[in-house]
Amino acid sequence: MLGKSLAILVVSPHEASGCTLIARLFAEFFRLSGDAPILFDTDAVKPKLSKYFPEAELVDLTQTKGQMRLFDTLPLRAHEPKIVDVTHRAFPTFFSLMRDIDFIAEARNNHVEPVIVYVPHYEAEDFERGFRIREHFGCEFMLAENAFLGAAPQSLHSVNSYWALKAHPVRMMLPLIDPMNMSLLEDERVSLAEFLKASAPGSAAAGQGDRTQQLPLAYLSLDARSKIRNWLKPSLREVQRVVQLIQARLDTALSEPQSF
Amino acid sequence: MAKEAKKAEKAPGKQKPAVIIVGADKGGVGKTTVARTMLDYFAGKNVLTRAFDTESPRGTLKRFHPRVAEVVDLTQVADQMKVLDTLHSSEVKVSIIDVRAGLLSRTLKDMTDVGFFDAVENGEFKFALFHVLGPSVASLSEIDEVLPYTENAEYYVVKNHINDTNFFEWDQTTYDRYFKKMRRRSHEITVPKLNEMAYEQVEVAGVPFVTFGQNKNSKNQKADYSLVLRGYVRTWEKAVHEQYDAAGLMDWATDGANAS
Repeated sequence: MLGKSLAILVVSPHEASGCTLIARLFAEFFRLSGDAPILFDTDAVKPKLSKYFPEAELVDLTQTKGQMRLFDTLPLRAHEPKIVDVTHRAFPTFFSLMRDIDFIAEARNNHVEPVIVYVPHYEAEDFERGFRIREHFGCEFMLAENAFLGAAPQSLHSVNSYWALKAHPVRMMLPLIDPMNMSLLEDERVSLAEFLKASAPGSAAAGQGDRTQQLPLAYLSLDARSKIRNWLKPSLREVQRVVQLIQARLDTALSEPQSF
Repeated sequence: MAKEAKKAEKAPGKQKPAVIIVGADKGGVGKTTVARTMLDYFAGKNVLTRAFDTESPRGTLKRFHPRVAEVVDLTQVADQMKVLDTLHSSEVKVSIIDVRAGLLSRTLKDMTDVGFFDAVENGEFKFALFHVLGPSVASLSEIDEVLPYTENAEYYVVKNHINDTNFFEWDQTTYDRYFKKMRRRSHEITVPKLNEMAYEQVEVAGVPFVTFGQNKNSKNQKADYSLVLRGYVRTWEKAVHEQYDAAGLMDWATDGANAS
C-alpha cells in the first residue's frame, strides 16, 4: 500500500534566486536515494530544469493544457516524489491557480503532501509575500535561503515577516559557492549526482586513468573539482536533513539515508 | 398593523411564490447558463426551486437539472396552467422559467393576457425578470420592449461574458441612453468569462456546474474531471453567486426568511 508522497514546490518570486538550483538538488538527492522523482519545469520562456533533466516535463501555465498537465498530475497518488520548479515568471499564475482550484485539499485527499520551498531575496516584500503564502495555504512550508545572495540587510531586521519566516521550524541554507564554480554548475551536461559519484576519491571511475576524461567536469583541475564537491556534499546533506525533517513531521517513511 | 402584516409575510411557511423569468429575444446570449447558475445558487442555500424549460421538446435546462426542471411549451394553455396555476399550491415557492430565444416578449404578453401581472400587482406573487443581453445594440433595444412588464418586478440586467463577449457595440452614449431609463429599479449582473475548456467539459458531462465542481457525475458518483477545470468552474460560479447575493436575490426570493 502506498503511503504519503511529497510534492515539492520550489518557488521564487525573483529571478536569479537559486530556485532552479535548489529544485535540481532535491531531484539529485532523490535520485541518489534510489527514487525516480517526477519533475516539472514551469518556465516556458526560459526553461532550465528541463535542460538539466530531459525527462522533466515543461509546462506552460499560461495555457489551460499546461495547467491541466501540471495540476492534474501533481495530486495523483504515487510512490515517487514530485518536484516542481516555479521560477519568477510562473510564480503569480502558479499561486493563483493553486488557490482557485483548491489544490492542497485535492492533493491531501490523494495522500500527496505539498511542500512549498520558498526561495526569497533579502527584501521585505519577498518575506511578506512568503509569510502570506505560508499562512494562506497552510501546507508544509520551508524557507530556503541561498548564501550566494549575501546576508540579510539591517533594514530587514525591522520586518516582522522576516523574523516569522526565520523562526519557521523548517529552514534550509544553501552553502556559498564562488561565482566561477557556480557558472560551471550551470553546464547543462553536468549531472550533479553523477559528478559526485564519479569524482569521489577511491571510486572505481576516478581510479581508471583515461576514463576520467569521460567524467562530468573532467576538464577541470583537481582543485576546482574538489571545490565543487566540497560545496555539493554539504548542499545535499542539507537537502537530506530538511527532507527527513518534513517526512518526520508528516509521519511518512523516511528516505534512505545517504552519507554524502 | 402594517408592521404585523410585514412580519407575517416574512414568517416561515408564509413565503410568497416567486417567479423568475430568464430570457432574451436574441438567441445565443446564455439564458440557460444563467438559469443553471441560479438553480445552483438556490440549491446551495437550501431553497427548493422548480424550473420550467421552454425549449420544447429538447430542453437544455432539463438535461443539466433533470430532477427539478420540466419542459413546457408556454404558447400552449395547458402548459401555462401547469406553471401558473400551481404557483400557490406548490410546496416549492421559487419557480424559474427559462424562456427560449425569441419568445421573451411573446411570453410576457401571454402572461399579461392570463392576468399574471395583475396578480403580481395585487401582491399574490413576486416576479423577477433576468434579462440576458448580448453584445449587439439590438439586445439593448429589447429593454424598451420589456420595461413595461417590470413595473412591479425586480429587473435584473445580465451581461453575459461567459463566451468572452466584450459588448463591443455598446458605446457609452448608447449604454447610458438605455440604462438611465431604468437605473432606479434595475440590478446589473455581470457573468464573467469561464475558461472555454471548462465550459466544454461541463457540457460534455451534462451535470450542473456545482456537481462538476464537486467531481460528481449525473448519478452522484465520483467522477474523474480535471482538477484545474473544476477549479475554474467553482471560482467562476462563486463569482456569479456573489453577484446574486449583492443584488439581494436570496432575500427577495424568500422574503428574507432563509437569509443567513
